[in-house]
Amino acid sequence: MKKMLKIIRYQLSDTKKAIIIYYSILICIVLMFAYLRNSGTVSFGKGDGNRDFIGFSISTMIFLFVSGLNSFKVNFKFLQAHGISRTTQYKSSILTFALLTAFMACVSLISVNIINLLIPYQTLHNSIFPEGTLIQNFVWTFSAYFFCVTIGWFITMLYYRCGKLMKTLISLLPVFIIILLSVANNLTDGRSSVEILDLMRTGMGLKDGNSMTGALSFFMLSAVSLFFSYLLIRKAPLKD
Amino acid sequence: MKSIKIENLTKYYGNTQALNDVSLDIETGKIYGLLGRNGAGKTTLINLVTDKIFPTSGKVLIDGEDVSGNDKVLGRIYYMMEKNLFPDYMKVKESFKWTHEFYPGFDMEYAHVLSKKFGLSIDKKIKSLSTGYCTIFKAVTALASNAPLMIFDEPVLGLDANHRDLFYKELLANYTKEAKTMILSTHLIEEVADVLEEAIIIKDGRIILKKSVEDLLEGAYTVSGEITKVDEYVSSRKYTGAEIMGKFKSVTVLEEVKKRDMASINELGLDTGKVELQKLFIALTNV
Repeated sequence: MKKMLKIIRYQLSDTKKAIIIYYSILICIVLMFAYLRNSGTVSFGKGDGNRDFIGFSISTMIFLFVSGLNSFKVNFKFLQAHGISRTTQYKSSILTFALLTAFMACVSLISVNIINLLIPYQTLHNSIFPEGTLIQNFVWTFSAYFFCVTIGWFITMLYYRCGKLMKTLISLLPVFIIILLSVANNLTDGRSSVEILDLMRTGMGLKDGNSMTGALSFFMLSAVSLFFSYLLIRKAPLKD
Repeated sequence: MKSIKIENLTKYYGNTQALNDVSLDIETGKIYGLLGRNGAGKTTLINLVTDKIFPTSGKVLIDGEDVSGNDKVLGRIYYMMEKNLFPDYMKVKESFKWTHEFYPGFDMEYAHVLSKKFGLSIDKKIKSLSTGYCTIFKAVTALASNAPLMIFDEPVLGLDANHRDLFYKELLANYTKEAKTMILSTHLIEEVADVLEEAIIIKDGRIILKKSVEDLLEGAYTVSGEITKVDEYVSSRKYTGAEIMGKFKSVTVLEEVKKRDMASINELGLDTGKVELQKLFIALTNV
């Protein structure tokens, strides 16, 4: 456990700089939009007949996805150099991700009131589920953020384990899926895409308006990606 | 640390066999030289001992515990790899700080003293270090780690003669200060010969010899003189490494020198000498 705490401390300190830069950019954007809105250059938000600003939740998701992508290879090598087993690294990374996403979810929620003083702003959760409570907002945001970081981690690990040919095939996978879906869509007269969208709406809780259904789906998807990540890391050799 | 036991290690990379059923007992508290030609399997063996890669079959036991996935055992090994595993953007002093976190025995003061001796700037980023200084950085970190088992893979790569000399001196000083096991994997046999207590020679993925350097050198000698006389002397003896210079020939006889051998040598007017580890290594690995 002591070793795990040290690894978590190392991994968090490694991400610290990126988080500071990210939030600095966000602050600059908020200030810039506040200035533009006050000067009348742009208009958005309630009362202006336009939508509130919601982009920060999505940008945090992208940030966490990229963090996930960047947090395997360098850390794996460094921890291998320091006699840390793969299992301990795996467990520590999950705890690091949980702490990081919990922190960023808290910041997202707390910052709403502050940002609202400058520009009309609401979290992504509140824009999708306007009736949601603060706790639901936190759980949903946390689950979505956690999913983004774990999927990024899984993808980078997958690339690390694969050879050149497999890497190419994996890169082409989204293209194959799109082709497959459009073929299926044509063969079923558009029913398949309706079914898939319906399934996604149900899974994300959009149908019943319950964000906890969406949170549960995010947690389940994270668990699946973490399971496959474990299979990948447990026999990961050290390579260039 | 009491024992290091390697049991029937075999490693394949695709269809290429890098190690072939290697079994080895390493007694602790000694300095070993893991010697072998390029591609002999030295780095593969070390990578398996330190759980960096996985064997096709076999296992490595340290104090009776399997090394694979074992934090307790892995935390007692420091492996100075040929490649750099530290993030490029990290500063030398930061890396010392983190190594201290993971190796509680890491001697920060000693790391600073060594850095000063080698002229390594601890404020520099690792990526800005030259090949030689990157080696120095890794060597300093390894020596200061105070791990009971230190493994060095090509520890003097890119170092100039002065730094190489300083490294061997510091290595011996470190070893003398506190009992530990050190394994040095290197091509520069002549340089490490005086440092090593035991030699492990690996060839084509197999251990062909494990002996104390003293016994190894006592078990062979060189004979030189006129070609015909040397040929006459070695005709019934096991020898290797023949070198001809004009009318003279020199060979390495792979036997312990006996009284009757000395009589023959004197009778034929030949010269004898001690064999060098490097020459013996070349002789053994060229067979």
